[in-house]
Amino acid sequence: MLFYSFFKTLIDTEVTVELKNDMSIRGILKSVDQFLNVKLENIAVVESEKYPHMAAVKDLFIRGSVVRYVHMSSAYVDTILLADACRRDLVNNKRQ
Amino acid sequence: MSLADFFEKKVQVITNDGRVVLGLLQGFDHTTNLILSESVERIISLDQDTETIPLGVYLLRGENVAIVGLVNENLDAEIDWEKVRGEPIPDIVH
Repeated sequence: MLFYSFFKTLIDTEVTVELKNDMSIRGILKSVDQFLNVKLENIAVVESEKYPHMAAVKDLFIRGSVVRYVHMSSAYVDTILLADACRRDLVNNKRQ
Repeated sequence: MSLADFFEKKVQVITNDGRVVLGLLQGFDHTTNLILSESVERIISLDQDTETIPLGVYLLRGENVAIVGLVNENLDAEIDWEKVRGEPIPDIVH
């Protein structure tokens, strides 16, 4: 749930998703779910000359299982808040 | 699921083995299994014109689905897919 919550805070910001087939897609994050499936709008394929396949696509859904990395501007990420949330999670898990 | 936004619209699916399948999204579930009607496979290569293979009604197993893209009809109309050349999409490697 932690990363699902984290991604929710990034909705409406620009992210770049690198997939496990080495393709990278940049777009505005519009939706995320419990499986970390993501929906991006207004996308651009990073090496579009190599992969013109998506030229007619502006909005897409990426299955969480095929994501290698999601990278974003550090401006939108409060790493301190994130570390705090993770620490709290660990404490809660230890209690259970 | 955000796939609901694409329901009954023309979508382009990229599979884990790098295939491109287009069709009308008629159904989906939480494992990303997809039902497409009027589907075609588009084969884009570096050295030949694009091949389009009609497939009819397809059920794609979610395990094998990487991307579901919404086809923008305006952009699509401006492209002559027959002439498009591109590299094959690599396989998904976990």
